[in-house]
Amino acid sequence: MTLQEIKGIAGKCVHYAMCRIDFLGTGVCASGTQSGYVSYYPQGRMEIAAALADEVIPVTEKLIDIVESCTLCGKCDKQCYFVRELRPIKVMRALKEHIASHLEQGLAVVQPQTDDVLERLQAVTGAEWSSNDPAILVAYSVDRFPLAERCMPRYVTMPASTVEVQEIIKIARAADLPYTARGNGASSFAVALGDGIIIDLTRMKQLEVDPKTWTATIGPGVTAFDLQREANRHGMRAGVVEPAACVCANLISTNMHSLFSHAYGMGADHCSDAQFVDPEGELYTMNDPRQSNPFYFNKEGAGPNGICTQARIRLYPMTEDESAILVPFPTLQEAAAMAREVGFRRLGFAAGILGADYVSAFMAPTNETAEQLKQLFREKMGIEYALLVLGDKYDLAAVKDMAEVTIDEKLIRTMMLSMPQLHGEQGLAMLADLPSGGTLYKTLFDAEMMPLIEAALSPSPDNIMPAVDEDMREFYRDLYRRPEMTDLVWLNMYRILSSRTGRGRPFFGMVMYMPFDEPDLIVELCEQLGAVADKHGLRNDFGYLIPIDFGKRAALEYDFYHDHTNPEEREHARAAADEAAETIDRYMKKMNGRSAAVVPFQGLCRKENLLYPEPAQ
Amino acid sequence: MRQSADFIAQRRRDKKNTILLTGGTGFLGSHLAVELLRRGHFVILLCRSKDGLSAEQRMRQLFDWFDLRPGGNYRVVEGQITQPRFGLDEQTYAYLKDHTDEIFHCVAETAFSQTKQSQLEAVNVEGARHALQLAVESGCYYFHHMSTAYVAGQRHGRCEEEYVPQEHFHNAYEQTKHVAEGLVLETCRANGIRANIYRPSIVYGDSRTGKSLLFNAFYAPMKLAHYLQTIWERDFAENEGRHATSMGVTRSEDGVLQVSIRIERAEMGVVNLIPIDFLTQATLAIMEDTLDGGIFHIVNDRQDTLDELLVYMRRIINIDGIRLVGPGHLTAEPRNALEKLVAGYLDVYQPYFYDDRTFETTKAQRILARHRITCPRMDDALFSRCIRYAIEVDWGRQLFQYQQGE
Ligand SMILES: Cc1cc2nc3c(=O)[nH]c(=O)nc-3n(C[C@H](O)[C@H](O)[C@H](O)COP(=O)(O)OP(=O)(O)OC[C@H]3O[C@@H](n4cnc5c(N)ncnc54)[C@H](O)[C@@H]3O)c2cc1C
Ligand code: SF4
Repeated sequence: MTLQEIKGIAGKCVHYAMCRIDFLGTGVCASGTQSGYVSYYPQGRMEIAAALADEVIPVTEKLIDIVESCTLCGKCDKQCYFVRELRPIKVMRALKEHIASHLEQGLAVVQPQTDDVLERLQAVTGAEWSSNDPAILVAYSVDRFPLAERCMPRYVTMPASTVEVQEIIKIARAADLPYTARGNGASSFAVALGDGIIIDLTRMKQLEVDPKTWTATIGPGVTAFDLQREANRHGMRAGVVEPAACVCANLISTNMHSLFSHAYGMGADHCSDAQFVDPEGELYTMNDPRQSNPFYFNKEGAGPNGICTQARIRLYPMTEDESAILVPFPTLQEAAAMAREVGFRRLGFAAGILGADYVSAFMAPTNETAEQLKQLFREKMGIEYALLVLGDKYDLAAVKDMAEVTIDEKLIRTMMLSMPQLHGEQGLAMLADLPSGGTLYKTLFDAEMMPLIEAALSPSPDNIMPAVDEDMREFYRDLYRRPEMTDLVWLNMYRILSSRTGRGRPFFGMVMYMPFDEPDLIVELCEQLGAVADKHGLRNDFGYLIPIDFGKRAALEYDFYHDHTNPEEREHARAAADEAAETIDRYMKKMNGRSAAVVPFQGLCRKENLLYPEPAQ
Repeated sequence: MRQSADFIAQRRRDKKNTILLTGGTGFLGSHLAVELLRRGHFVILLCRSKDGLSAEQRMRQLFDWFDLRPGGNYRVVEGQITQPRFGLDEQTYAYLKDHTDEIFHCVAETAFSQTKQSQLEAVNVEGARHALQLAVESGCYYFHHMSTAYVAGQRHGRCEEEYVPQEHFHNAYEQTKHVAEGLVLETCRANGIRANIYRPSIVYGDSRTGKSLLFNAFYAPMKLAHYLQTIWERDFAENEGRHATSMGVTRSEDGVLQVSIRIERAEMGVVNLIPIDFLTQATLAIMEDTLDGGIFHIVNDRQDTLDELLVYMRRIINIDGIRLVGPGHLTAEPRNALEKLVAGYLDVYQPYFYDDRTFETTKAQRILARHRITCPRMDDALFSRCIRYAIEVDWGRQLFQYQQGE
């Protein structure tokens, strides 16, 4: 296949950086781990392929090295198929063919010129870890946010220590160059792009758990996945979010809010101390008495004062009897009432309402099966929302007591291991086709029906095989034999499924903090945002609603999806993003002082600033 | 009136009346459309695209199912009944306005569930409004409206072949169909358009072939029983009946599944069932014979008892132990899990298990007698024919695949 032919695959990479963590136990691309730069990871190679096809970059020696260092081992194929149903191996092969033919034809191989700034950066990091090679830069030049244009940096540098970060900042200041800190670039809001120096912090992987103080001290290159694994090893849990996100980046840019925020809070709650390099290249910490209030909240989202080079993250206990429960609901109002109650009573260590869209995307092995499952839930069973609660047996018993119907972990596992026939002829779809009062799930998910459901579905990892590509079948069977793949506590702790959302296309989520005692307002805002997206022909859906601070407030996410490879849809997504921002603004004004939209870069501010903002005068 | 009775009669006789039929891909609509085409009328079929098939493709698929090789006497128009002007562009809508002489309004949402209220309103009420809007805007002189005998709502006893204002219904289906009748009568009266309202009872498949396109209502209890049979038999084959036995299902020596399921109904509860072929013949006979409009019950003069139906079912479904019990039984002894399941499904049909409505048929009968059209009786053979077909096509899932593979 030619580069033009595989551009369709390469362009579909959503840049969630999942190929940088070993979330399936396949191992991670070896050349990436060795060489560090994004360009040496599958995601980077996909970007290089797309850029070569569009003639954005020339063939350089580095590019040849990047392409040749791929061993065609196929790990990325499994990972990427799992989250996005993409087959990057085709891209890797096409790249190799392209370079072979380029060399065979004796075409030019470019050697980028060095310059003064590069030399100074290399003097700090070592030659290997700073570059201005287009093949390196290009992997840092794009993001899937519809408002982002390609933005080629001048240099990428990968410091190994805080001291190196300080030095780099000083070089940037002296050369009057802007710089941008970068974790794994998965923020999807174009905030990790920059036209000066990109400081890729992923080499800074310091990670030490201190059981005595229930904390972990981490460097800015530590991902949520790394931290969770290490914490678990010590019998503890971190309240982290997206697995491939660097924890420091996540904390700073989006407060690290998730279903865990119900119990563990967000923003400053996560962190007992953090160290920063300020724009002068000087060090300070959150607890530094010379600092003005580090919990300071800046409504304009001016960015943190510097680069976080170390953070001390709080960890939490785990118990043997943890499990999960889903409470299905036909309306958001009903679900919100119960979620609020769960917040008031502080039941469980994670809680939140998910839409049918998320639930089916997480449970189903492929996009097609997810769509079918969603239809089954929504149209046939009358389930539009589900409240997910993770907790110990006491928590879950209380939740069961409060709810009319619940779906316990056994039933969830049964359903997950029954895809795709769950919605097929002999599965539940047959029952769902029958008329019922519209809330079929109440009948079907009664505990007494479990034997019928098991008999109808015959759950087994083998069932999943026909849903996936032929060459993936055995891999999927073996994967789903692993208990964690159907263990909701594990799946939430490591969050390996959320990057499946909108599998067909990337999404941008809007997060707002809302008063939980006004569910009608929440519903109204969702409808308004939905109308904005509908007007532009964009797929859109409710994301989640999480009780925060004892259920006094709720974090609401609403998502827009767009096909970034379709220029027309991108245009619509841009217009929709603007209009959505206006809509949110209007609501925030309407709720004056009762909540706020997520203001980026306020991660270390106290959550109270977002939940209970000062009313405008 | 827009046209004289003589004019209408003449046009129909000469097959010069262009009929716009809504809901051409529906169960009732397709049967009527095919019969109208067979009789040589020119029919414009308004229908939706669905499941990746265009309206035209869906109609062709149906013509195959009916074994009809249509001539040039039809045109398919892809439109949405729920939208004003069916969501059509100016030109297509102008075509409808210029050509429509009579309208056969067959689109209906037949879901009983309360959660479908907005869909029922959109299709049954707004849909009728949009069809009527076309009637008013075009030269249409006759509006035929497919309704249901159950617009009678929560009445008891005899229901007349008339429009009787009604406030209480068993479900939103009955209610929206009643509202639509009111709209039809009022709009047609105000605009000099004649109107027929056809009120069938519960419609099932073709009495001669057993074929059907829709498997709800009459079919629903059989479908559930057949599903349970399939699941439990597989469980006995593969798991020694582990799941089945834990729900109290056993298997006798001769392989018959034994359950204990009580279904509550009025003592001597009856249902009024008519096969689709009877409905089609009766409707068209009435259409051809009426020039002044009217309301007609198309029902079975012999109601079937639920007990009889259960006996027929047992011959096909390999399950023993389903019993019909009188009122109060289930409260006396609480429901077991399977009974809850069955009740969950049959809940929407509950009012029909206590039905004592009977339907006057004087007006319809006068015409049907003249045409010697009578309603076939349900019996063991007819019942089996219908259910076997349903099983063959997997309750509709394999409707067209089956057709192709045949
Ligand atoms: C599928 C998906 C779901 C998500 N869901 C959630 C969610 O539920 N909750 C949530 O909180 N977030 C969520 N996010 C957002 C994501 O977790 C954060 O944007 C996170 O920051 C991404 O990490 P990263 O390492 O890729 O950051 P990057 O994209 O590399 O950086 C994000 C921002 O932080 C800055 N930055 C990076 N490192 C540092 C540092 N050490 N010091 C100072 N600034 C720095 C960058 O300049 C940039 O502006 C989601 C993202 C995805 C893709
Ligand atoms: S196939 Fe190539 S890019 Fe993919 S994981 Fe293996 S080495 Fe990395």
